[in-house]
Amino acid sequence: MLDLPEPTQLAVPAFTILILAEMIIGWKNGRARYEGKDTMTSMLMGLGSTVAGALSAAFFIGFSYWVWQNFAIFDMGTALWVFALAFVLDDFAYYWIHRMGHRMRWMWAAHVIHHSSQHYNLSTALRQTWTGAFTPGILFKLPIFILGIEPAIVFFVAGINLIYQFWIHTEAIDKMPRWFEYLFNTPSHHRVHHANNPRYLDANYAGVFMAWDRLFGSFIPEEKEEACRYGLVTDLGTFNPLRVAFHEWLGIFKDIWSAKRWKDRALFLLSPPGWTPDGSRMTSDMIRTAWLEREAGKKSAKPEAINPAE
Amino acid sequence: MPLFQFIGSIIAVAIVAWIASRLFHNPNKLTVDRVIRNTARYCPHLNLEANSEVFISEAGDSAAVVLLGDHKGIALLTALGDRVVVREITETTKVKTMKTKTGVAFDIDDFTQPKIEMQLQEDACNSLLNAFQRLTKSHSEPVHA
Repeated sequence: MLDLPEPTQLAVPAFTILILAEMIIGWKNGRARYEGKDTMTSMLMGLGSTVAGALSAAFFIGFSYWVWQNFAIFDMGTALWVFALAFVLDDFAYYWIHRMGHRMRWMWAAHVIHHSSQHYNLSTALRQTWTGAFTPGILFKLPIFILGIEPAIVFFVAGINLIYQFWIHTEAIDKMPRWFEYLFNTPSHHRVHHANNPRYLDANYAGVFMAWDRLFGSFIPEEKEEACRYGLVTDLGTFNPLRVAFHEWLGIFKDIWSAKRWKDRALFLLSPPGWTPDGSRMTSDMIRTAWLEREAGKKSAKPEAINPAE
Repeated sequence: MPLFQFIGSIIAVAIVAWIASRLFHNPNKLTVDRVIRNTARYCPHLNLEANSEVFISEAGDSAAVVLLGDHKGIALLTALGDRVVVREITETTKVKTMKTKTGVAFDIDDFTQPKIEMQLQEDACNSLLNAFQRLTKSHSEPVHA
């Protein structure tokens, strides 16, 4: 087994320094905002995620190597170009894992944690799941192992991918140069991804390369006239890390427990968040449709008389 | 992760969070304007200004908006740090209310926010509870064709 370092572990001191730097910049010029308890929760979720990752690592490494050793079509070796290819393929797999993380409630139960802050700053990048091991996300990476790339290389480039995604969690940077915005994930694109405005829901899933969103129709640009509001469509009412980590799993459990049909039980896991058999809750598609209808209504409505009091 | 590294990380997290709380003060309390604005954000289908009664806790950390229009219900708001969390309760029969020494408390079926307490004067407290009871009565009445 190839012995490669864990990039994210090495980057932790830099993450902390950059968070402090953004905090001071935000304090001076107002372009970033922090809140003590929110920051504490985000960073504790990051710490817990590291512990959870360490606990489940043996299983994932073992499983990945088993697939690679038994089903690999080619022996890709360890040349530099293999690392580059692995980076691109892993980013593609990340796109689909991330997209399913928003479109399938089972995977959302783990990913929701990352979106649970109403703030958007570098500490939000650390607000990571504790329960990713309980989702089928790893299945999206199997084709890379079957192609013949050694799992250690894939885990290494995935770490670099995560480090890249750290710096885009900021409001301190407005836009990057146009060519960069076109090719790569940026703070602007990722602000849209974290926004809960109906206009911006379920967009910009990319890790590094925006090509995947442009290719698969999930790209939405940040509009100057509509500032991003961050968080969930139903925000959490707590900073308690345990409640943050497990709230959606509990919700799924309760829904499955009270469901009357096996089909509904399965759909509570596999359908988008917000799905119910009777439509009593709203999925992101329903929220966006309702918003579009309100917008259309506003445009078609006759101009109202001006209220002199306003 | 070695234990000393874990403990060191916890201490580092606490220090960073403390610095954040010192640099970014959070003096904002809920006001009628803020309550209406946030309720409208969560419940864009409601015509709030025409059809609502607003109650704000004396501590400014929670509020209730009684919705009187077509969408009868209650919106409960809490200040979470410097942000606001809103819960629209359309089935008031599923919410338990109780009078406390300082006001009123709502028990809701919500894992991340199971209880919301409001400090209210006696008059406001009674007024809110009466409005809530009226809503509960209207929700529990059978609909006749």
